[in-house]
Amino acid sequence: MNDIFSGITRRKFRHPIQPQLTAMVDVFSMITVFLVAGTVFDSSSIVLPSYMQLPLSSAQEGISSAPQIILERNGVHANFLSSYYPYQVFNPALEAALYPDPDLSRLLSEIKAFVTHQTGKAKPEGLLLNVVADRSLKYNMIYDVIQVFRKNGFESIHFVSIQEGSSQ
Amino acid sequence: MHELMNRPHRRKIEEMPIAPILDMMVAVIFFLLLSTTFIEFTKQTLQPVEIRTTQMAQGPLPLSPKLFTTRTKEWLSLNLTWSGERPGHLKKNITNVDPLQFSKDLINVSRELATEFHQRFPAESNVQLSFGPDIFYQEIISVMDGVQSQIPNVLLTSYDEALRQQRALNE
Repeated sequence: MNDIFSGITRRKFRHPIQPQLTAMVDVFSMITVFLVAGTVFDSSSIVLPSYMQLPLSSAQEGISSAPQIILERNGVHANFLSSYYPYQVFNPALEAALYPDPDLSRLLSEIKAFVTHQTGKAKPEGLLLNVVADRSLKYNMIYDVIQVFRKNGFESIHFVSIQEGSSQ
Repeated sequence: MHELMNRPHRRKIEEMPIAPILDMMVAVIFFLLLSTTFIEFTKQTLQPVEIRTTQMAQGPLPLSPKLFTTRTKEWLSLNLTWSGERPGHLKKNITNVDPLQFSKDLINVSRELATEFHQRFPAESNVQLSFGPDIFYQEIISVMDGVQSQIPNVLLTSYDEALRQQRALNE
């Protein structure tokens, strides 16, 4: 009988569990501050293709906002170029040739158009160019490419690398 | 007196609405987490080319230091040469086992060369770097790391120059 009435008896009043909101707000504030400090709100921050391995460096200087070119294993591309240019186009022999190579002419006109468009936006150290290149590229490729961009208006070149110790 | 003895009115403590703050913070955290990259990019700068004109018989001759990095069968050879009134050169070799991997040894060797030069000529702030055509980008960055720690302004010169210098050393 007691068992029958046990269901009818008033249940014990339970205190609702209240989350510690103040502590949560504190923690979230800390996380927000950390993330805001570590975020780069820059339209031209580095876009790195997943298959590319940047070189590692012990340098401490952070990257600057600038247009970037990507040097892959077979050629070069950039946002301001209409197509992918193989390394042969950058060969200095082509520039010295009697008849100008059509790809080289197109490349030069695209670079010049972009540089003209950037006039007035240049920083005190000149018009910057971020070079994003795979670590397995050889010096002759890199040098030939840089020469073309430098001769056509980019004054300061920044070689982008990953700080040694940070994970890629 | 009667008024003074009265208990003060209890003030009602207004609680801040924490729930919307939390909602907003969670949204902000998600946004920031998704937009954050945890890779730290660094850079080596190639400054704009500086053109200097030297007038004969006025002032000291320019040093024009050049660091040539070339690969031989056995090792990577770093050769720092300079002209001026007291021309000279410094040379160091290093066995670079895996050229595609970060090498602290290569950074240290190039830093040692730059330090030695800097101690002799503290006023010189420029150096030209030339690499053989078969030198990998990772090695270029490591040499620049070491040199720029002592001599901030570097300029890249053609790989032909490095080849010529290597041939001259072999002869």
